[in-house]
Amino acid sequence: MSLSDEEYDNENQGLFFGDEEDDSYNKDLEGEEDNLIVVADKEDESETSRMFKTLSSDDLEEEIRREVNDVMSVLELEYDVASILLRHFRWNKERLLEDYMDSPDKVLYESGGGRPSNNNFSSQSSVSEEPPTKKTRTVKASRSGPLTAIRSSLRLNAKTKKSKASIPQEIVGNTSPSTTTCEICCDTPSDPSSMMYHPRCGHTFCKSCWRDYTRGKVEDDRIINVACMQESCKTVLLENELKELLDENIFARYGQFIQDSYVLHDKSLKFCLYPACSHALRTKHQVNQTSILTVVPIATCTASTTPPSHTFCFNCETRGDHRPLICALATKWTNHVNEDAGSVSWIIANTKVCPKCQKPVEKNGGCRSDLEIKDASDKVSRSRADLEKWLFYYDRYMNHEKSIKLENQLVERIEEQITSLVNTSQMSWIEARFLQHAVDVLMKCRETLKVYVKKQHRLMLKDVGEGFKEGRWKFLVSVS
Amino acid sequence: MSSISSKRLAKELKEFHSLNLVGVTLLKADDFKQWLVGIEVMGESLFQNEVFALRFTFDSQYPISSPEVVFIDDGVHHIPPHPHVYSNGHICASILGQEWSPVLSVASVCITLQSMLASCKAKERPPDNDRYVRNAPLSPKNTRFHYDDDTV
Repeated sequence: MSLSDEEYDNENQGLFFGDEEDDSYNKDLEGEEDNLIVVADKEDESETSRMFKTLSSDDLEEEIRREVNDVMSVLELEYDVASILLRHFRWNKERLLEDYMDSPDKVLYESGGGRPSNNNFSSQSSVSEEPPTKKTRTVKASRSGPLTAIRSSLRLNAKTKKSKASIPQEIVGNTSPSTTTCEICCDTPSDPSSMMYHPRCGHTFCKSCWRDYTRGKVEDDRIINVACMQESCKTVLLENELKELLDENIFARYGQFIQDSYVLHDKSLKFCLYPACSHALRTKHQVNQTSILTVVPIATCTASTTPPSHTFCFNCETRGDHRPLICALATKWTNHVNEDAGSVSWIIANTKVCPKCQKPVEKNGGCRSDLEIKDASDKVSRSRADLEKWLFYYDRYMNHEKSIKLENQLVERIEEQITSLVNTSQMSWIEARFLQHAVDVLMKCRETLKVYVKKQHRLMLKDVGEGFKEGRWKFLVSVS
Repeated sequence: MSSISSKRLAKELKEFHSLNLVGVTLLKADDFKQWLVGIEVMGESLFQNEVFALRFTFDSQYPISSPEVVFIDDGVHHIPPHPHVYSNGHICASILGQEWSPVLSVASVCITLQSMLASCKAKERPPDNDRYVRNAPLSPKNTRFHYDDDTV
């Protein structure tokens, strides 16, 4: 129920007294209430803008284009192919260049970026995957019909294998060399030249099947390297091929998915956490396991100029500012609150504290703990005290949380208030903005108080002198 | 059910009969939603003389989307003990998931699974069988398998 001291023993105990933020906390302890607001002052804001760069969707696109152009010029490839390779290597340029230098054919084959002529690189098991040249295409297409599944790797005995190998011609039904029937929907379009389609690998199917297939891959599966429909053909469709097949709005989303994958695979990039904000932020912080023990990378997306500001923690991806708590502790608190929320609210709603033993007792019964009191060891009474304290902090935290929710409603109403104020009084619209400002400040204070409660709880658990701890506890109880 | 999937399945059904695949028999194909196929491993193998039943369930997106394929236990047939077949009938095979291609068909899936059974070296369940079966979704299509064995 309550956090035990042992739980924190594993953590670096000196963390909070090492940097300047903690100095302000030491002052708090001396009762200087003015110092309670330690979050985000001016200096912090300039620091934030120095360490984070907000990138719009266009900036991202530009950046991706630069990366691809880079690879394109180094490896002397076409733009689309370079793009496929980069996506295949999850935007890891170094590894791509290294592998490509080692064996370009293999990289091109495996990533599906190769031109048909490059696809010849294959192991002996994929003989049937050889990209057909124009002349043999139709025949190949029919041979590599449904039964290509019988690959040479399958251990069929020679006899059955032979009998199977003769089947595909019939199963596909494309006995005539000119493929006019789509193998997938079994339709025979009246005008094959405009209704059949094949990407550069030459596997021909009807356009509507290609459309369905690419839409499913892009929209539902969010795959950015869409391979050819032919079984075991690795050729990835080029962007202009997709553009031809996809509806305009889906193709636009495809561009978005490419950006998503670019951001996902770059550790120094992250999308703004706020809904409907499509900006990404690049940090100069070294966000790694050791650095986050001393640095709290709070980022503010500059895309939003009106409140609420898009502030979030770059590392633990929580909205708002949880300084001075480091991510590990902030997450611990959140988990603890989430875990306990149910049981604690039940305790608050259904129990009373027994006047004798201070234990929460269900309201519908009396205290039956006479015996227990006798047996109560120090440990029991300590955990009881811990529970009481945890409830104390939890209660305050939840109150702030609830207030924030209510104030969010207030934000929505404030615009009306301002309008009515302008209409009924002599005040100008700009003057009436003070209301808006007041709400902003209120919200900020709430956020700060929330963090303050967490921090106080943390300090309560910390290994400070018992007397000091008690004194602070009494002080807190008396001020609240 | 869309006309494309019906049309395609009608064609597959016709071809299925003309193919006369060895060891593959259509048990039930009354509609274009669900088929039952019996498969038997021919030649020498651990599953000699055993017949298993596969249930194919097609959605309206077939063949663009893969069919749901599971082994079923209906009293007559049982689920083969195989390192890629879970005891609830779910099959871990890449062609039924990520590597599904619209050119594949019921017949080709049957042949692949037949060869998967034929190459079996030990009659045993996958190592994570209990854990998977306990939490498995109803349809194996909702599972993200990790395909780690390229030998079969």
